[in-house]
This record gives sequence, structure tokens and C-alpha cells, in this order.
Amino acid sequence: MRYIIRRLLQSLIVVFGVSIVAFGMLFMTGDPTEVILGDATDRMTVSQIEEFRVKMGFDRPWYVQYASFVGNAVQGDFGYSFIRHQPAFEVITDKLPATIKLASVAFILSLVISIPLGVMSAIRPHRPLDNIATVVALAGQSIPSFWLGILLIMFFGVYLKWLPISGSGSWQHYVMPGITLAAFPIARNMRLTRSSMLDFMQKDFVRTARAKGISENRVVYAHVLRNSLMPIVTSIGLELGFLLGGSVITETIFGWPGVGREIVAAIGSKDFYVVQAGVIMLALIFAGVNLLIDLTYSLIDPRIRFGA
Amino acid sequence: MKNPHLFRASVLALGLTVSALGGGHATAASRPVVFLNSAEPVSLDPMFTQADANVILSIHETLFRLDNKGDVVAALAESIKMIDPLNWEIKIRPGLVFQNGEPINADAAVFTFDRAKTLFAAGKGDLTFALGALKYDHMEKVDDLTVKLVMTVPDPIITSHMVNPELSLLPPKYYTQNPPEKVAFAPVGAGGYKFVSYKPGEGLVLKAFDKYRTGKPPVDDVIVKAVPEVATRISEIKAGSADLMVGVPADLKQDLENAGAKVIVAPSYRRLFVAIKQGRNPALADVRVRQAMNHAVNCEEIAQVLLGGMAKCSIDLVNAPNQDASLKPYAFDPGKAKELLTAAGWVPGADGVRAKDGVRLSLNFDTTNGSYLMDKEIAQVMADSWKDVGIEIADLRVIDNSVSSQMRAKQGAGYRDLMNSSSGPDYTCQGDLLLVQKASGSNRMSWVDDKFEQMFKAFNQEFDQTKWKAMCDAAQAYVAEQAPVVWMFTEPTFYGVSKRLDYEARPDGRVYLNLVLKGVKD
Repeated sequence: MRYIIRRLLQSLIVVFGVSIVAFGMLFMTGDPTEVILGDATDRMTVSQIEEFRVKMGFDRPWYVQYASFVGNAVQGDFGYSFIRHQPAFEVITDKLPATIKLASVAFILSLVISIPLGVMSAIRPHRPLDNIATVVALAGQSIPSFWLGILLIMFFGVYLKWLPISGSGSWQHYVMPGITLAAFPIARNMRLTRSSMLDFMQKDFVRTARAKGISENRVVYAHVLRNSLMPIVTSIGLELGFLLGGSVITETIFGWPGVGREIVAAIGSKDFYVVQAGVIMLALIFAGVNLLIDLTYSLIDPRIRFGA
Repeated sequence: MKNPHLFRASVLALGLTVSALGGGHATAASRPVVFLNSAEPVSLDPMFTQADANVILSIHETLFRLDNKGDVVAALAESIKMIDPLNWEIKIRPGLVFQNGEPINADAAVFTFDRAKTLFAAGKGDLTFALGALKYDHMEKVDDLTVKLVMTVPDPIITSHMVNPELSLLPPKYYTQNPPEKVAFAPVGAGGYKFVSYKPGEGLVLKAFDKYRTGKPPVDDVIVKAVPEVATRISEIKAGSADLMVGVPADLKQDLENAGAKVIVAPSYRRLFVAIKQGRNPALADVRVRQAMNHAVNCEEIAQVLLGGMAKCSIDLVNAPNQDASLKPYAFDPGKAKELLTAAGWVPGADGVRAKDGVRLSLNFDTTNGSYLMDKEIAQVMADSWKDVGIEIADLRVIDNSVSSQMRAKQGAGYRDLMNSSSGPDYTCQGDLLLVQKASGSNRMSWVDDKFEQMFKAFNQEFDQTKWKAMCDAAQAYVAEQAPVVWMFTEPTFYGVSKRLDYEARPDGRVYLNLVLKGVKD
């Protein structure tokens, strides 16, 4: 129980930190009154602008504004979108299904590609397939998603014209953003699977299994892979949070109608309450998934629970 | 790869599979015209958005609107007559219908203007701008095709204030019988395009309305799709899967043209200038110093060398059609600049920097970086130009774009002596002149001039159109002479257009589909 409380408190600290950053954004980008009003100030007198400042509460000390922000946020009230004329929280939740769909595709893609590739690399280390997989993994981990996305668009969208470049609607629309989003997890999981398997392949129980005449396939899949899965499962779990949060760039590049694109659009249109709601929601998802993984892990491995 | 044929065959097979399973792309010949917007629409209810004017005025129609030249023309209205300064009679064109068949008549106009008032009073919708411009009390039905608009203040440019999309006429039955949440994305209007469907990510599908007041628009089917990333929009145009985008970066113009698309470079209404802050450095209160600063800068050369000749030097404070076209920008004349400075008492010191009563003519210049085309580089050239006539830029500071808005607050209270800035498109003489009006929030120079204030007040009360235009011209000429800013140029707009689309750019940068799409050749 102490472990659970400790992890819960740690997650709350993370969310608290994010809330400070999200709140601070409103001020880091300039005078919030001017930023929100934008060109409308051309039509307003100085006193009207001041009136708006008071109405919005921007004339109050920052800590009072922050306390009010947190107080409202815990009740799900992140303010009202100036642009969409609906609660900021609702603007974000409306877009969440599209983000979850894309993240799920990327998640499945990462599993389907990375684990078999990692297993094959581990079975035949330093052979051509392993070398190719190593290069692919290195590329996947080092190529930034915005660059990979543009490259895919150039090749499959502009040059070959095989896939739609942006938007959603058909299964083809998932291909390029899915690959872009999955590239990093594929690379990481592939390397993790390979190293974890190579590690277990040296263990005594594997040698014993082989000595007992068990088939190589059974040794690899039933003994080595099964035992290697522990760190992989942890990593994969954490990836869900990464995929949901990391979709901001991918969604923007591919015009995917999800939370990430909404946040970027809200930044562009100075719709700060939506930005705050989106950032905090993504932080909550990330912290929530992390917490869940930690708790699950502690159930599987009691050493963690007891602080060993 | 041991067998290169195997690789090629695999790639081909993958491609064929993708195409076969999904049916591939529709061919260009069967495709509707695709217009790429940078954001999804906020609402298609004209009273709930200012951000979607392009689609709103493609689906809806106002009583008066701006044509492609920027002139105010009668749209659903047939004529307007002033009864007295507070009462106007508007005749509606006969025989017109909304896209659902409801008649366009006095009832529709009264319903629309009442709805706007009611929403605004309830703090709903996005009507601050429109109702801030058109200050009416109410609208009354006179007969089936005539209404009376009762104003709260006299307004000599009432028709200019009726062009705002928020005041598009709405069919009363449809908008009364359906809740706001439904009509927000299932609009019915009187514009050139009928709403067919909308889904985020897939786009807004529109079809030409055959009973539109000027006849069916030349392009039948249009999809407005949101693609936030400019590089992706350019890729769509290059791939031929989209036909139109606004805001092609100048450095990608050639790239797009090489791919077979057209790039239309059209002048815009956005004016760029360097704001001269009053109240900090007393030297800048002297009109001769400000005029000298204008004469010292070679705008034409900057436009040619740094902007590839795509910007137009101007001294325009007011947009067409109210602009005084006879006004000429300050000529590049360093000799004249030096004369003016000497006449103002600023004499060159040993290092070339002018001084007066022991005080050096030394200014601070803040520039944005990337807010406008080549802004940082242009600021450097301007600083050098002023140095040549004896004005020192002690500190040329490049500030982050996000900080510039903070500095602009409270009439430019955060500015130092000089700052590059811009003024957006307006459609009225008054709206444009607000840049230098005493109480206006957009007067970031804090420039206050009693003579100008009197001129501004007087022409705001003038109803005689001939006199009014002359007064607007006089105000422009006076401000040009007083040089509260260093005038630079109007920034061009770059449109990426597919080869098959015939497009007419507007100076206000708007993409009203029924007006700008002139045809498509498949």
C-alpha cells in the first residue's frame, strides 16, 4: 500500500509540474489580453482592452490566477474556448478518439514488427538480417518524426502517389502517420527484444533445455522469449503514453484530426484554454499509464513492491 | 539485396496491393476542387465564428459584400436609402431563395438581425467585431421585400459595415426549428455553395447552388480540407491531390512551379512599417526627424534585393477603395534627409552621428524575426541607412515573435524607439485610420495629433459621400506628411494553384469560393 501511495504522489507531482507549465504558457507568449484579442484590438479603445483584461481576471496577481486555474481544472473546467465556443475540455475530449485510433495502429504496428524482428536478430546475431535490423533500428531511433513524415509524404504521396497525403477516412490514411508514429517504438522494442533475448540465451536453464533435446523453436519461443518479455512488456506499456502524447507532431504533419493537431491549432489561434486542457489531459494520460504499469509491475515482481 | 528485380517487384506489388485494396486515389479528372485550409472550421453558423469567413461567405450571403476588387456591392440587397441619419431603408432583391427553398425576404432579414442582437446580448456567438462596427438598434419589416434598419449612431459607411460575414442572412424556419448545435455544422444559406457534409479530417464538402443570385458558380464540387502543416499542403498541391492553398512560402515558390503548379503572387492589404514610438525620445516628436527617417530608407531597393521585387513600396494607410492613390511614398533622398535633420538642429559630430545640445541622435530598434518576410534583414539595412544620414541605432534587438505581442500591449507601452510592425486589412477609411487615432488600441506609436483627431471626428459624422471621400483623402495626406511611422510596403500573398484551376486572387486574401474559382479544366 505504501508503494502505491508513493507512486500516486509521484504522479501527482508530475501533473502539478505540468499544470504550472501549462498555466505559465499563457504568460510566456506575451500579454494574455493582447494575445487573445489579437487584431481585435485595432477596433477597441484602450479602456475597452482594459475592461477585457479585468473581465478575464488577468489583472489579478499570477498566484491568484493559478489557484483559480487549478481549482477549476480539478472540476474539469478548463475555461471556454474563444474560438470554438464550447468548453475547452470538451474540445479535447471530442478529438481524443481519433488520437486513440492512430496511437492504437502505431502500437500494434510496433508490436507486430519489433518483436519478430528482435527475435530474428537475436537468433542469428551479426548475420545480414541482424545487421539490417540494427541499421533500421538506429535510423528509427535517430530520425525525427517530422522529417520521417515528410519523407514518407514525398515518396509515397508525391512521387509514387500510392497513399493519401493528409486527413483521415480510409485505412490508407493510417499507413503513413502510423509508420511515422511507430518508427521510434519499433526501433526501441526491437533492440530491447534482441538484447533481452541474447541475455537469456546465455542462461543455464536454456543450455539445460537444449541438452534435454528440446527443439530449438521451443527453446526460443517457450523459454527464452517468455522470460525476455518482462522488460519488453514494461517498455511497451510505457509506449502507450508516448504514442498518445507524441502524436502532436505526427497529427500536425498529416492533418490527422486528433488532440495533437487541436493543440497546435489552438496555439496558432491563441486559444490558450484549449492548449492548457490538452496539455494537462495528455500529461494525465501519460502519468496514468505510467502509474498503471508501475503497479502492474509490482504485482508481477514482488521485489519492486518491497523496495528490493 | 542479391536480386534487385526482387526488390523492384516487391515495391510494385505493394503499390498495386495498396491501390487495389483502397481503389487508389480518384483521378484528377473526377476530383472536385480541393481547397486546403490551415484549420478545421470552428462553426458554419456565421454568428459563431470570425475565423471561417472564407467558407461562411461561400455558403452564406450578406445584404452587401465586397467584390473581388474590394468595392462594396449590393448582394441580397437591391438598394439602400437613408431616411435620416439614424434610419435606413433597404430593399431586398425579389425572387431569391435560400438553399432549402425558403424565400429571401424582409422576414429573413429581420430574423437575422434580431438573432445577432439576441445572441450578442446573451454573450453568445462571435459578434463583437460585427456589432461593434454596425451599431444598430433593431430592424423592422416595411413590406415583404423592404426593411428599415434603425441605428443607434449615425453611420456614413453603413454598407461597409454590413459586409461582415456574421450578418449573413439566414432562413428563419430552419434556424428556429433546429438547435444551434445542429445548425453549426449543417448550415443553410443563400451563398454560392450548398453544404453537403463535414467530417474533421475528411473535409467540408460543398456543391454549387444553382439558384444562387448571380447564377450557378462555375465550379460544381469543392472540398475544403484542413491541413495545418504548410509543407504538407505544398506536397498535396505537388501531388495533384489538391488545387488551392494560400500562403506558399516565398522560398518554395520555384519548387512548386517546378512541380507543375502555378504560384500566383498577388498584392495584399497588409501594410508593413516601422512604428516610431512617441514619449520616449524627444527627438522623435519632431516631424522633420520622422520625415528624414523616411527619406533615408531606400524601400525600392530593399523590395527588389531582399524580397525579389514581390513587395510594393507604399505610403498607404487606407486600403482600396478608400485609398488616396495620388499619395506617393517618400522618395529615397539621403540629401533631403540630412537637410531636414540639420534644419531640426541635429548637426553631425566627429563620428558622423548627429547631436543637438550635447545629446546624440541615438535610437533603439526592436525587430521581429520571421513575423514578416525578411524582417530581421530589412531592419539591419534600415539601421545602416539611418547611420548614413547621422542617426545611430545604438541597439538593434531581435526579439522573439511571442514577445512582440507583449510589447505591443497598451498602445505599444513595451516598445523602445522603433519597432517593425504591420496593420491588417480593413475595409473602411475609419478602420484603417484607427492605427493613428488617439484612443485606439492599435495606435502602438502613441502618436497623438490634435489636427488629425479633429479631421477624424469630422469625417466620422459626414454623410455626403463626395465630401466624405475628400475628407478621408485629406486625413491620409496629413498623416503621410506627419510620418508617425516609417512607411515600407504591402506584403504580397502567394497562392499555390493547380494547373487545372482558374483562380482570381483578391487583394484582401479572402477565398470566397463562388467569387474566386473561375473554372476548372479537367
